[in-house]
Amino acid sequence: MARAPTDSVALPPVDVPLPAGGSDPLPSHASPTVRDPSAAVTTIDAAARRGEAKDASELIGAAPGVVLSDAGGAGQRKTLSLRGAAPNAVLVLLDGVPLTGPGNAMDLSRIPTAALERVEVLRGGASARYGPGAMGGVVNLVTRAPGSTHAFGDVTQGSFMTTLLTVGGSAALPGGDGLLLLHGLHSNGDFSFRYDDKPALDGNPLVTQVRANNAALQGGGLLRYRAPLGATTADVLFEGTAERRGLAGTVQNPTPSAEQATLRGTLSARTHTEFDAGGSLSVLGYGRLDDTTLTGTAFGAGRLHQLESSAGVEAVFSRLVLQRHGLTALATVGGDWLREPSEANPSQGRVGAMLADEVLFLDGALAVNASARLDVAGPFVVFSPKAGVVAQLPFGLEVLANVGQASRPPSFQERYVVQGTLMPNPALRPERALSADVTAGWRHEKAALAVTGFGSLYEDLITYEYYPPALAKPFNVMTARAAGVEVEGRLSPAPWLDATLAYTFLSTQNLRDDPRYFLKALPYRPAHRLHARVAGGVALLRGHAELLFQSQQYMNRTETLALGPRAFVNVGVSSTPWRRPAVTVGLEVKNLLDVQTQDLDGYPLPPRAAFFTLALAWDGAER
Amino acid sequence: MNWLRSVVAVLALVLLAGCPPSGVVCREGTTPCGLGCVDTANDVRNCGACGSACGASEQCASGVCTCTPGTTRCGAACVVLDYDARHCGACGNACATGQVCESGVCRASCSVGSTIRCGDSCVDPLTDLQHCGQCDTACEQGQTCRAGACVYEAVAACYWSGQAVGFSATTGSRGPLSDLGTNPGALASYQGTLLAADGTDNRLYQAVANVTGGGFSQVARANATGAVPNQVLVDAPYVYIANAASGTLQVLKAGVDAGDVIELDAGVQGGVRLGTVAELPFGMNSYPQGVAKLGDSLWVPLYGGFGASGADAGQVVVRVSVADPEMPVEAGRVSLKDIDLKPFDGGTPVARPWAITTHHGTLYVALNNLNPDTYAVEGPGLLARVDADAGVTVIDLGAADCLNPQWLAPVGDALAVSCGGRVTYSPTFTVESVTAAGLVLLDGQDQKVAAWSSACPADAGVLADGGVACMPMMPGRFAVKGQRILLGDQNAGRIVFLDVVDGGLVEVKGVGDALNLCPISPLTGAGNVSDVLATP
Repeated sequence: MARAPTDSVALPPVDVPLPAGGSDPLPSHASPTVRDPSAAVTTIDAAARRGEAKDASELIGAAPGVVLSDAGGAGQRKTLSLRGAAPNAVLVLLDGVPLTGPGNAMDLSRIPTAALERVEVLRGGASARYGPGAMGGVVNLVTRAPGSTHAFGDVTQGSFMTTLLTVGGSAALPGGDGLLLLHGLHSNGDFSFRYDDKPALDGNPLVTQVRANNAALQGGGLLRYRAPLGATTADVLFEGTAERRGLAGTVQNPTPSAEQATLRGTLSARTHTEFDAGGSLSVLGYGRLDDTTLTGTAFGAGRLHQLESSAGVEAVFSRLVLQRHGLTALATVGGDWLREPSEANPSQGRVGAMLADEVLFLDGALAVNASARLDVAGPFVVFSPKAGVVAQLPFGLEVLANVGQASRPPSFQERYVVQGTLMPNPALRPERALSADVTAGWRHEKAALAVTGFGSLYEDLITYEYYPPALAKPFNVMTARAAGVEVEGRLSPAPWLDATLAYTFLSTQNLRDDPRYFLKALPYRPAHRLHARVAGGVALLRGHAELLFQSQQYMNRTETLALGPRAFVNVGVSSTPWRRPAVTVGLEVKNLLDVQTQDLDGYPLPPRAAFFTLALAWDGAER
Repeated sequence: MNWLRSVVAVLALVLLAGCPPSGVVCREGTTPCGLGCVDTANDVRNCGACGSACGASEQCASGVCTCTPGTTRCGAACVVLDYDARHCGACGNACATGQVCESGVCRASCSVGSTIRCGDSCVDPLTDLQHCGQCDTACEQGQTCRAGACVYEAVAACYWSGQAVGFSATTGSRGPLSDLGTNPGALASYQGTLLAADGTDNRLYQAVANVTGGGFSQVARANATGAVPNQVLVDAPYVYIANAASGTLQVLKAGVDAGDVIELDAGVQGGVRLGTVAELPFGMNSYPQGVAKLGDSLWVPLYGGFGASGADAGQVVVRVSVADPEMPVEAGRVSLKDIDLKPFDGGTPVARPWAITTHHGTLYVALNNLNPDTYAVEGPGLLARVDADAGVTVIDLGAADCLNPQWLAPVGDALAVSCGGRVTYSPTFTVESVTAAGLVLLDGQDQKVAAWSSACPADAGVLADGGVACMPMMPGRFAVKGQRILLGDQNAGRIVFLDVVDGGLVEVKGVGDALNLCPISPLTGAGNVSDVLATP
């Protein structure tokens, strides 16, 4: 096995975004957008799946360790849990910029696949590198990059009056290049579903209903400009969406007039400078706005308006010292604000600093890294240490291991905002996690396999408890563990055939509670999850099929209510009969077996659905 | 080896941060004893500490052994002066050999017709706590000897802590906390078996009296219910349940195997074998909250769902014919949408019919009178008297005395209504005050004749640590035992005793000296009596 000479040791990767890589099932310490060199990372290629995945959640579902929660229907709320951590304990970034306020869960339906180049899912506590909020891991959504002059557009039409539209192009601009992309989505979301209107009675026939007030209308755009400035490259990005969607509510307790209107966006600018004397400096400045209005719900006088915003600056300096130490130093400063009807209007400043060292031995075959990060966010001071190791072994084998501490600060909403019958609690403390994992990987030209064992101890988990007279209030209640195994594999026996597999076994247990809850599983954490996909063909005819299986999951802390197992099969075919301009037509059938099921506590998922896509692409370079 | 030092330093920091505490903990109000958890404040076998048993005729109160009501301390023993031959009538007054003690007097033999001789004592086995039913059969703490059987006169459900507590409606003596489900919300009794509808597990649990340890033992089988069962009505052999979140009326029948019966990992045998034989859906967003039987009809108030449109699916009382209980049929609806809710402060409330009862052959429904979106109180506490033929008559309970009525039940000729009041919260979102809360009494003509306020006594004072000595009371459900009202507190886990005397209310145990039954959670600072049951 060829090993790099000591004087050519690579520095730890520090910045985002960099050119696209292919879909790689192996956790890779060389992933360019992740600062953690030993973390278990899955990279999912968005470009290859634009015709079949509508939003980021459908891409992320292909990674191990992930559990998605789905309110049902295009444009409806979708969140993800990682390694047993709750959705609000997973940090979701767009090119490194946090997409939510501190301690909040990201609605992944807001980021269309069309805007993405790839998705990186870093599994395991990552606060030592990424700061508070990364208790279960980090998802970095990497946007499409400008490049050669080209234009593209596609339209998808399908079930439930669903339409998706994307148009965009890239071109050389003065001093650099730029990309503009516009996207839209409309769906009536009025699918039929079956439910049991007599749940306590055996043998009664199910009732068929049509989902009402489940429509979504979404539009957005992505504007990006890059320019080289000597030894520095600059990259400016704006991404935003506007949407309006019905909030259908649960099956038994629908909310026929409830709607959510959202206007959100991020603006970021970054520079990356390579110094002749060695080392590099990346500086990222960003701002984020998220304006949400809820109407016709139980959120106060029929209308709740909330404006959430953040801004910050982050600088990362990396340099090789003493020929084998890749040092990285990070400093960040920023603030978060929330305006809401009760006019508590909380805000907080935050500062953070991180120092990391990666040391290479045996000509780079063994890399040991250690990092520690200190963050002060509002009243909270959080320290996050971590250590990791990467060992390259003969025959394409690789071993990665990590141990560290991570945290999630309570959100503004949990601390200060009355939300219907949910009371806030200003006395909340950050949640904390101690995490460790070990990955063994094998990589071959035509195949790859990685097996990861992981375990986390969660402390001070926040749950909503009964509060008189008929309310709920959050408290730092629970101590829990999550442990499991993740298996990732890829097989590409021929250039035209590719198969991937991601399996997760997850075991969660409440570790400190009374016998009602002690050693019981955490809700909405299925023990088994499998994503398998086969794709093959040539330009004239391609096809794919995927299976998403999820075992039973409990809906409460006492393991007395459960959602049954479910398996979705999705298939699709596409053809590109013309190349100049490239014309591609595709047909996608979701939920081929017409499985009737629901998610969360009474949110039905769509039945069998079909979508037809016509895509055009014009490459100026080819002319 | 700088790198090694770095890694060791990071690992040390991780370890120094510490592993979180873990292990099973006992439910609120109980402490570990052996393999289980025991209410050492109220368990005579473990009073104050594990294994520390009280003596005969002693009870355990706040972890201290004291004489049970009706006994007197003579030296180290608690005795019944009425019949203890060594202390007959007074401590140290021993009867002569061969004599018995009866009614505090030494006699040659038992003379009162209802008494029997137990040793040298003449006791009434129909009522005596130490010789209930037969000699030397003592009742457990909190029980009453009724017709020769030991029973709890009343039972309270503790929602937060998942427990039940039996107590005496006469003396206020209470039994130990007993685990029961997860969050028992509604209680009923079926021929001596305690039924508890659980709002978290969506199950109907059962419990029977623990004859060897006091309190209750949960039965090892349960029935699945709809979502959030809110009231249970027993009309043997049928049991009716109003399932709020699934919007159904569930019918169970004793002695049949039907529906989803759950065999639990732990529990005792016994109880009643119930099976679900019918379920009647009321539609989406209906939220049935209660059930009352009048003739061959059940009447069910529909609360309605969240928000204005969700609320619109409720605000009615549904009549269900149970001429054949196993085929319940909806037989009509009485609307509460057009009644005058007398809003104040510019509010736009909806009726929110909550609890229902029968009284004088007609139906009375408690109306919360709340904003449909925020559940804020926007009108006075109201009752709707529903007559299938004559329509709806609204009774104003008076905003000064009663906001947000919670429960209602007849007390003889009168009708009692509990009022949850209006809750205000501090800037740190803890309960700060509750106003217009308590209980009002209507006479036979539906006129308000008395009102009792659950406000803390003015002299309640402040604790040394700055906390309040009296937690605000949030009156909720209550039970009626004769002329006594046993009123539960949804905030501090208490029971207040009120007697109806000459058309008025007399405070027997008020907020200041209420019976503390459900433990206060150290986490939330609240304890919830979710239901109170007076056993038949």
